[in-house]
Amino acid sequence: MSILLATTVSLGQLCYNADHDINSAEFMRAASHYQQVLAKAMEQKKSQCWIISSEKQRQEATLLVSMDATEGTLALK
Amino acid sequence: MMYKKTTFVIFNRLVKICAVIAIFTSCASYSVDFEALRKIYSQASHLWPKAEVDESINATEIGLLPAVTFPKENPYQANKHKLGEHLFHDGKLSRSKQIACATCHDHDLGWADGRKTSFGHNRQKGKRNAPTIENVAFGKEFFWDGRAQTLEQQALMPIQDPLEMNFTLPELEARLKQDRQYLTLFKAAYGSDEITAKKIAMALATYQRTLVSRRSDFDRFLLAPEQKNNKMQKIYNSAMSDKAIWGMHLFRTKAGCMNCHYGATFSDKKFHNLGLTYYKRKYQDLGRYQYTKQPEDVGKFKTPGLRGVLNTKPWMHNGFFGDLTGLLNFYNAGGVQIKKNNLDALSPKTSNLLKPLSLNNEEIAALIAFLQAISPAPAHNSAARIQ
Ligand code: HEC
Ligand code: HEC
Repeated sequence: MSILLATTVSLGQLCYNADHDINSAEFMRAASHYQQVLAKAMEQKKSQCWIISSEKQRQEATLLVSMDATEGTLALK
Repeated sequence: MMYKKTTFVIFNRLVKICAVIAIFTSCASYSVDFEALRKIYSQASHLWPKAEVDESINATEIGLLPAVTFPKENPYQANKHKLGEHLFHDGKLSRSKQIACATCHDHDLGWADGRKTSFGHNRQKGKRNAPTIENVAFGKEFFWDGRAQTLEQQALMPIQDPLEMNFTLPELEARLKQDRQYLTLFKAAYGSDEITAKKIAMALATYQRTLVSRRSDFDRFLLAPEQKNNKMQKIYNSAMSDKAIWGMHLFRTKAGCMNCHYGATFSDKKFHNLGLTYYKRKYQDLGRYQYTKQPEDVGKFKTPGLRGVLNTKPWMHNGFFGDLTGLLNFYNAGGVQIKKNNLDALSPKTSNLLKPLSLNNEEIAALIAFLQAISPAPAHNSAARIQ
């Protein structure tokens, strides 16, 4: 039961908004779990969201959002 | 045709080295002939490779700063300079008596304030990043949007700006008239202790014209041939590392920086849109349009000089860039390319001087080394050679 919960509970989403991106990628310095998906989205200039499914991921997502100077390229939802 | 020959040598070695390494993709990072580059750039600058710029651009070479010239209407005078220095550092110029010019243009922070955007009266947040005032003596128009034509005109604007010093000129004149020290300073500067806004502006402008960047590693490198003996020439020549010279070469060529950052201050003193307008969004800043009301000026900002740029982080009119790698990633991507909406006259258009650059990480690091080489410690209080 607890395993099931751990895999299905969502702690929200991390979203990338291409319209706000200034291409500086400054937040990428702290990216690890989201590094690949973000890099791809940024390259393709494609806005999208990813599920946050662990406390560690939530911490990373929060840090990335705080490093985003545009306050709009990354967001927690 | 010394230059052609050396380029050929570089090219030749490049081919050889690439063949040896045979890792095609990482070839560029191993192929720089630093010795040849140093040789080329140790020559007088008219023998350097031609800067790679758009054919519409008439870029003057990067080089040493000239001596400051003071305008006829406001010539240099030592006591006026002293009064200006005093005014610049005095909170009495603001309603709250708390905010001096130096609060936002702080020597220790490269004559800027180290913030994304400035705080002024009542800690209200302004919309723009405080630029350095180093080298304003060489400027043509002031503020990011060029709305002040002279430093004299500029000086009275922050005093009256409700978000900055939030004061009025009559109140300021009245306040300073009550201050004995100012009566003495004005008398020494102007021969009479009458205090007027115009005199305040002239003194502030005179002081600011003396804040000139110190000699940088780049300047020392350029001055090497003029040194009297071999040993000194070597020391001056080594002021710039191989990496920094490579960065200078990229700055002038592949990276296209000299389309806009040229001349002694590294600025064309013109206005360009790099794509940071944030049109119709939070943080929208229409830039020069706000002053000229010309639709083609939407989102254009003044090209800042780059001397001392490492001292004035964060960068750009909105302070959105906190590290230089990020800033160069931005240029490498061709800025922010926004498609103009032709149905909307005010929709901004990114400068077509910006193009994706295909710089690799080593090249970006080299460009940063060059920006370091043009960034000495912040200008001394009163550093200008007075002419
Ligand atoms: C609250 C912070 C603040 C204070 C106080 C302040 N400035 Fe500034 N200064 C700025 C900002 C922000 C800008 C850019 C504003 C813009 O471009 O719209 C600026 C721009 C300038 C510029 C233009 C530089 C250039 O390259 O175009 C000069 C010169 C200048 N200030 C001098 C002064 C003087 C003189 C005073 C005092 C009378 C002063 N400032 C007070 C924040 C401040
Ligand atoms: C199309 C003209 C143009 C080109 C090309 C250009 N710049 Fe700029 N640069 C500007 C303008 C305009 C700004 C200010 C823009 C703003 O704030 O919106 C600026 C800002 C900067 C800043 C920030 C300075 C500060 O004080 O905030 C740096 C650093 C810089 N440029 C370096 C470079 C380098 C390195 C290159 C080459 C890779 C380059 N620029 C190419 C016009 C240009």
